[in-house]
Amino acid sequence: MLALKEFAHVITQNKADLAETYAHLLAGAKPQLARVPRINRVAAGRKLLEAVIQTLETGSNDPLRRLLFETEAGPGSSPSILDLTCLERTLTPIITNLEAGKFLWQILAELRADRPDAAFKPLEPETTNVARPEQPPAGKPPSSPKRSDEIDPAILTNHDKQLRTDSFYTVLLATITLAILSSIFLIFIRPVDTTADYLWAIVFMAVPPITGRWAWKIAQTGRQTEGAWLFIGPYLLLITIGFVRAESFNPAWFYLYGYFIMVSSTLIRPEAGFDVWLTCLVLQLAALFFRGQFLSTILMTAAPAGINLLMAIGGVLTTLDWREAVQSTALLHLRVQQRRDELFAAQEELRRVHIKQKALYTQLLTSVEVGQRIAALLDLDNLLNQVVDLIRAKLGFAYAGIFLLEGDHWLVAQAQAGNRPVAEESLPRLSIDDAHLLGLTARQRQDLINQDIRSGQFEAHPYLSANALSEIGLPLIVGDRLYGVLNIQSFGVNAFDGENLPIVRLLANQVSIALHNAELFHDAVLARKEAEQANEIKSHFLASMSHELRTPLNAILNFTGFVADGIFGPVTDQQVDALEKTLDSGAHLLSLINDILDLAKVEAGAMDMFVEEVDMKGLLRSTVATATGLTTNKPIKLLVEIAENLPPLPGDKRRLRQILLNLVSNAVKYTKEGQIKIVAQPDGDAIQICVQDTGIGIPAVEQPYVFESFHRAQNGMNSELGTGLGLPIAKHFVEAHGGHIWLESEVGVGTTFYVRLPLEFVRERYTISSAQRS
Amino acid sequence: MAGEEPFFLYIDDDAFSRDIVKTLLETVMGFSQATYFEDSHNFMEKIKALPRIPTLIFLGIQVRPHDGYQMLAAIKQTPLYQQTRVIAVTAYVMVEDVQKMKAAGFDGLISKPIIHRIFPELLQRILAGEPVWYVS
Repeated sequence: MLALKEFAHVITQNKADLAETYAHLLAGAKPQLARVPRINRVAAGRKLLEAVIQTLETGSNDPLRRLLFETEAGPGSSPSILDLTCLERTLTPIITNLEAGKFLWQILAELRADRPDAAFKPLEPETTNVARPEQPPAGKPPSSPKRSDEIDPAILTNHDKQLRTDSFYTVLLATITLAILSSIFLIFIRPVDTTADYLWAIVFMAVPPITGRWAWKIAQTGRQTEGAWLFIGPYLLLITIGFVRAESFNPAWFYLYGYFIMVSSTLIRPEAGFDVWLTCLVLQLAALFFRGQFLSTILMTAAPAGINLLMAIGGVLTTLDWREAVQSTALLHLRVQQRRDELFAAQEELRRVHIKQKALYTQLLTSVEVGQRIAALLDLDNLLNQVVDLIRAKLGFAYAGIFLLEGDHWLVAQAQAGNRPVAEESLPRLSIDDAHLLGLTARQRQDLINQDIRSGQFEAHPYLSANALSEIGLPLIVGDRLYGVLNIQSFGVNAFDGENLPIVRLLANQVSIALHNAELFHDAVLARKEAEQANEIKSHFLASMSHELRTPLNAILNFTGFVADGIFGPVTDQQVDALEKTLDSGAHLLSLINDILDLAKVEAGAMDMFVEEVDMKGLLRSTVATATGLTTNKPIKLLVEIAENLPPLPGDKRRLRQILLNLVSNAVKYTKEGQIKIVAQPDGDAIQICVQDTGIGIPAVEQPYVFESFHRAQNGMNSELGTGLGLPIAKHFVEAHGGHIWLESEVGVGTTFYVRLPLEFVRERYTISSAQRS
Repeated sequence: MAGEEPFFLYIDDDAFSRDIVKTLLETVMGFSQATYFEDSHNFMEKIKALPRIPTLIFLGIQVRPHDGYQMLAAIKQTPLYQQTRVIAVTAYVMVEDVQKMKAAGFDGLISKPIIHRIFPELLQRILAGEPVWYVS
């Protein structure tokens, strides 16, 4: 109640301005009031203002009720000029204070409930501002009046009457004063001989005030012409009688006639001034005729009659002026009113724009906030709850709910905020086949708005808040995938309009994206888990295979070796030869197993790279040393050129060694005699190594296939030479380092393999481990 | 320990492997002090029951009921065997296995198949205190 009193205080402070505003709004709310003189309107506005202030201060509906009854019962005033509808329309745009507005609305609702009478037409719902959604539907603020110079004839007549009424009293007073003065003048100019003359003078003076009073009353009812004649008539009669009775003629009478013409042209219709002049002249001439001094008097009265004629003409001219004056005053009034209307409309517009901007700002902030939360939260339930809370609290709606699609036909309430119609523990599923807003939204996959729930356009659903008057359903959809429906309800009708729809849609989109992301995330986690499991299975399989193949080889190689070495007793040379061949085959099988496992690991994506700074110079030298052992039985010269400035290379030492060893041993294998040259040098942001031999060469047709598994040169080389996996493995390892390998070869001349390894390790394809290996 | 003949213990349930190692140690290299367990039942009690603390213990990995890792942990936890070096002898030689063995605290690895012509050299290096992780 404190807030109400504070607000009442604020109103009291600005009473003068507000009274005008109220008056203006009253006029806008009720067309009849526009015709009431401004001063009366302002009075009415002030009265209404007082009543509002008292209502706010006392918290009771009595002041407004009294105002209503008073005006309805008020004598003379048009019936129920301040009816309830008019009050509602007047107050709606004024109450900017939410609490006060709400309170006044409550009061008005009480009053309406008290008087369920036909005279009180219910207010037509028009628009609701999204910034004040708690407020009941507000009357439309006075629309800007059409600017026009055409004056409604009714208004003109009104103005005419108004001006006459305003001036009548003044003129009347002046007339009475003049009548009294002229009577005194007559009495003193003419010697008073008889008592009758005195009486005459007294009657002469007494009549005008008496008739004047009647005339005023009649004029007040709007019959100014009749009033004027009532005033002038007896006077005229008295003068004429006096004129007939008088012994001698006094030209001053004529001037009196002139005066009457003037008065009449002001009081009565101005154009009637000429009629009065004619009447007076006829009366005067008739009187003269009776007195028998007709001709001489005509001559004598020529001058005053002429003056009177001029006055009458002046009166007619004045009439024209008068009309002009009336018209221009009316126009002026109209313009002023228009201007006031415009100003008010502009002010109102400004206020609405301000409110709209504020609302828009809030909405944008909300959507940004929702966006941020969507980005920050992976916990979907929590996110949805936060979103509905935000929509309800920040955008000021009655209820917000997110319903997710379960299967193909059911909507399940996932998050709700606001006036929850359904208890948390018993949330019913909604079928999308039903004709309620949610079902239709899901089925039609488009926004649906029920601007007035009372209209019965859609079926009711259990999640409708008791006091909700409008609701919207927005499909939560990404591409073809429908995730559910966002439902927002408002206490006002027509709560979803062009202004808040984009924001609400934006929010629905954001929620959809969040749902989509959550699904993607879930899928990704699942896929990753599956991939990890698959990899684990592959790795496990490879490890088992390695173990299962190596275990029998252990027995084969060692027992054969023991026999061949004579450990278990003497053996013949032939036996040794056979056993050595067995041993060689066993060793070959072992390297085959190793190569196959390496390749299988690469292809299974299970290859781990142990990346470290590898001293390439050292690695190359040790590789060459190993290769030297391979060439001992062949007339091959091994040449090595390692650039002094060869930088260390980030990579997996074991794999790098294997690349080099495979290339060098390959060269040794396919070269019967001649030389093998190993060159390593830095090349830009990479190291380039080439292994050049003078071997048999590779025919051009076979070159594309040398890096394929188990592809080997067909020309006379037997299977002892290698596993056929050396080059594929080298290629895989080179590529794992982000480098590439290629060759140049000529049959009978030799082959050169080139390897280019970048100095920056590409850390994308393989799991990197920093573990050191020895 | 210098001058004293090393004492070897090899625990593996693969009879062929035990034979091979026995031949290599005793016949090829001429060591006489070696004991072989054919499984890991009560291995700790059996180790403690040995006449002297082994210089070197070879452990198979896939041994029952206690695998090589469990045995290693038990041995390393016993203060008496702090100085004893433990070498894995296994056909599980994938990169991850080697990493796992290093992390578990093995002092070295000789993979299966054992290469009989290299084994003596590897053993000498191990006895000299060098860490040897040999994968054939």
